[in-house]
Amino acid sequence: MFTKPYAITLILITLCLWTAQAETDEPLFTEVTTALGFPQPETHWHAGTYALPEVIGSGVALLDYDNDDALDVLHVRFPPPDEADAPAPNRLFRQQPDGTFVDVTESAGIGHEGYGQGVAIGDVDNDGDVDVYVTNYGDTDVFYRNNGDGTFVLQEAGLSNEAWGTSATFADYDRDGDLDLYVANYVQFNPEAVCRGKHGAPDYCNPKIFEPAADRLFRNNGDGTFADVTQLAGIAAMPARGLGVVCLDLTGDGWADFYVANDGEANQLWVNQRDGTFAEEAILYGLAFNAYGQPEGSMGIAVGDVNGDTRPDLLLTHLTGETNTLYVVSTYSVFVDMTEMTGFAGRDLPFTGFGCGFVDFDNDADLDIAVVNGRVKRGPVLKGANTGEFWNFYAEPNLLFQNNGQRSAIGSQERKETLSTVHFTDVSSRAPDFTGRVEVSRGMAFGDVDRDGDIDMVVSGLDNRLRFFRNDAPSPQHNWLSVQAITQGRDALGAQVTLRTDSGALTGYVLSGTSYLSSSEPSVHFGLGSIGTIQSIEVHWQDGTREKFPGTSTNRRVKVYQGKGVSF
Amino acid sequence: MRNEFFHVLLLLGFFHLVLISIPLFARADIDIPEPADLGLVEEKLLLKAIEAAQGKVRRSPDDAEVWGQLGHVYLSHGWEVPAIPCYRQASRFAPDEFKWFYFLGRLTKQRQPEDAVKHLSRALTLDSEYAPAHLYLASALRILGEFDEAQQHLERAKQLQPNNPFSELWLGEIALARQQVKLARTHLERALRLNPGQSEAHVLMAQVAIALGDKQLAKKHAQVARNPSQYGELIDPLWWDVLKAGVTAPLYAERGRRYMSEGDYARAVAEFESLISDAQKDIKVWFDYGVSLLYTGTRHHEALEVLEHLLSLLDKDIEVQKERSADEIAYLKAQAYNYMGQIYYETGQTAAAIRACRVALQFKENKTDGGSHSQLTSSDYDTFFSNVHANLAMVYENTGQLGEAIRHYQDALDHVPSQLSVHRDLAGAYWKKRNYTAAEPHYKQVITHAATDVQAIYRLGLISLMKEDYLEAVSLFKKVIAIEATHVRAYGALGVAYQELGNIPEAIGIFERVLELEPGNKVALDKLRELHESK
Repeated sequence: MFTKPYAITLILITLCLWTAQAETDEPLFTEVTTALGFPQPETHWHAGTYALPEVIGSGVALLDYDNDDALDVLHVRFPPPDEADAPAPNRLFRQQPDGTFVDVTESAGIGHEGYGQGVAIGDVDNDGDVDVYVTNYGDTDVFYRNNGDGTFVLQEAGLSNEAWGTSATFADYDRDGDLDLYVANYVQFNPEAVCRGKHGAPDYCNPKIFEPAADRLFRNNGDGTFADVTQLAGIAAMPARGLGVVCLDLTGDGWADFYVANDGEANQLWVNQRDGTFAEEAILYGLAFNAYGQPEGSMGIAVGDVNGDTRPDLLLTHLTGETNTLYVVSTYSVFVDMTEMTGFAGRDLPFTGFGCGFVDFDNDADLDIAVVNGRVKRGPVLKGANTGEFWNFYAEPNLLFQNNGQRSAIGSQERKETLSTVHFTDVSSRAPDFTGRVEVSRGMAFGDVDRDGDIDMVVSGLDNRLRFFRNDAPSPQHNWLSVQAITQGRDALGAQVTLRTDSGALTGYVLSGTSYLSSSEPSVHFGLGSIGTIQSIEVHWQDGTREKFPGTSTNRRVKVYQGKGVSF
Repeated sequence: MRNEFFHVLLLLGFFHLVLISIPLFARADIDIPEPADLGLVEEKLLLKAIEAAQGKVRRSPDDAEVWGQLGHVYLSHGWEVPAIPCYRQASRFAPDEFKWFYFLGRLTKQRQPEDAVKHLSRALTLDSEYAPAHLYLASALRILGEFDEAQQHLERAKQLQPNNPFSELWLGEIALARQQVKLARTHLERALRLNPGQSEAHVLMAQVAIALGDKQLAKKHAQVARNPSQYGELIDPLWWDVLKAGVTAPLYAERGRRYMSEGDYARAVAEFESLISDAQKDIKVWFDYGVSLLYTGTRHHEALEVLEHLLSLLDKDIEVQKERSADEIAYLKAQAYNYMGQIYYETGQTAAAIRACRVALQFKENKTDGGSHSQLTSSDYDTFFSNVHANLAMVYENTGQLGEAIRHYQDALDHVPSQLSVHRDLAGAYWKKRNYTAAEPHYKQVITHAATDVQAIYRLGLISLMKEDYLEAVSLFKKVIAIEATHVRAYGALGVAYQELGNIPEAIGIFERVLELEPGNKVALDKLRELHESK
């Protein structure tokens, strides 16, 4: 017979073991695509014809187009490889009160039949509903103005981009209160080009054999139209092969800059000169190349404050043989490639990353990383690949990394010296639905779709397939707060939100256009761990003003409006 | 009892049989790694090479060398993953062989840095003097955040290969990652001294300059960083072993170019010849083949044919034209004509040589801005056309057309004012033309950068003599003698300078020295007679 203290100890140990077991065994994400009503293709995707657009993929957006406070899904689509003229309308899925989705493309009037690539979401006319911009290959991009009644109307509005558009993002770069648009363009593709890979077999071309296409910048005239200011702003001066773009202040001067992920050449940081023009200074800020000064095949971009210094850090996804690169801003305002010191570099090296995001999926108050993968050049068929004979050579699993918030390899002084207070551990095995499939994935968007306080993910595949992953990460006593920052009656894209707490500051960014070709929920989601009270919410609005809002309790969604806080 | 003993014997016999059979079974079931996409390989030579290397492994599965060779075949053709187990086997069967641990470490460096540290550390216990092993070990340690150890190995690599810019570059990168900005600057400046064209160092220097608040300097480095990096070769003799296992076209070409860079043109030709056929459309291969043939010194005629074929491809082949910009094609043509000029000159066809060089120079006029994607900088163009002018000048000079020669030497200097050899040649041409005043500034340029150039100093001494600046002449002739103690003519000229200065005893001593060096020297005898008479 045990004495009482021993019995209590035994019970505690058992409980601990049980909890630990539960944490280990629970999948972090569960695929719920079919359960939510998304159609699933029954056959494998058509074999490729080695035309470059076939491997670029397309994006997906999480948006609330009908203002019912439920996230809807816009899936950008493209025709099969051997049927370039086949109709492949983009699809809009509305979330119903029971959480399932229904295809409303036709009634909403948003089913453009092009060779869809990327998507940008923003309320360009400040009328309280989001409008939609879709980039295309081989056809002009399209802009849909939201009528506010669940329908859209296709408008030209001065947004004419005939180049091969990829990622795009809305942002108020000139601080005039309305959203402007930046479109990253890729290459001047020649469909007749024939390329061969290793050992003579045909394969997709290296984009370097095609001339780059200059990006485009459109300024909002404030009257429902846009002006092409690409030349005027200086953006046309340096054409590059752009695939990803984000807009936020990366130089610390309070003005929105554009950062463009370029494929196989220097990334570009267009620094806002505050007079409507931009200067390209990526090399100066350490954001053009990796730590070794070499260009990489950049695709997607994630933005977040990974080390808690209230400054934005960046993750770029890259080709196989290159790491996905983590840029952490130093005290000198120069970004430093910290990839190799944060633990995930070796694991992602064999894969080609596209969509990506910093997401605190376990709400433990630090940012984790999700990356979707899929090759652009043929490689060995990996175990579990089931995407058809042709695409199996391009299929790869996705990856999930958890931020441990500490480093074991080096001491605290070293951490201070190297800016590295973060360390990522590969937890892919704990999310088999997300990482267990060996497929070719491209776009990825993030948002709390089921409004349960954690971030869910939707992924678009190269086979025009959507996969929906519900966050099931067990997070006992992990609190959260979602902040929607609003200006002019719309999401304040580009604003920075900082929560002040007893345990320090947590910072997030109001951004929709991140990842790859995709658009995410613009609310800033904070995982809080054991933090129970928020002392105050500070917002650095994109027009340079700063306001403080009162503290709040946790595990709720709050809205803060510009002009309603206390300036500081 | 006897029965039991018999059973024990039987059992022992059985176990013995099992034991001696194990290697045989192992041989039969030997698991040879191979690339997953091998089925897609279309190149027969490559398939044959793989089959041969695998066959050797099957026949001698305990032989480290055959495993290593199979690893080399895979690695040279870009298959790193199946190469790793091959090197692992090789290191197992030859645990004291440096190279297998080295390759194993090198290949696992990024994917499994902990393993790489183990393998490279083992390699360095077997040969601590191999600099690339220190560099790769440092790289693996850096991935693991072991900065101090990484720095130690980079410092060691630096000691072993002082001219290797990578040690300094990576030391600079680590210092920058640790926010030790000034230290980073020191290392990067050293790296740039060793290889000014290494864009990676310029990238990091731009960040260092920003961190130090010097945006102008940062912009300068950023500008240079946009140029394609000119890599200094990491001296790694063992990599040759891997390259030699390659049987695909890019590997023949790479080997050919490496032999060229080592000056072994006969071997370079042999490599390029494996690639040459009517179907070959890689104009760089044709170009390098032609140049290698030329520099063998014995195959001028074939070199000429190859360069002419290259020109016809550049002129007529649509596929070739599509792959290159107009500027690149023009530049290649200019280079081809320049080399043809050299061939004509070396085979005594000076008129043809002049014609070829003149055609090469015509492309200078056609040059545009190079486009944003040209791999060639203005400096590349200037250096090339400077060389063509200098070559043409040399041909003119040797055919006695000194006026034309001088004009082209001057054009060469207009392109690259710092070309020392051209200053020397131009001064020489002026000298031949007896225009000593014009020669003087060029000889002065020469001795500014080459303080021991005897001919330049001697001729400047003679010019001083002619200008009656005898003190300067004495100083210059003494310099010549200090460098070359047996320079008879310098002694003679020094004697004359002393004589003109009225220092007869010194002059006599100098002319006597001339006679020691060259008994019976008529000028010295005459001068001595004259000096003694004047006493």
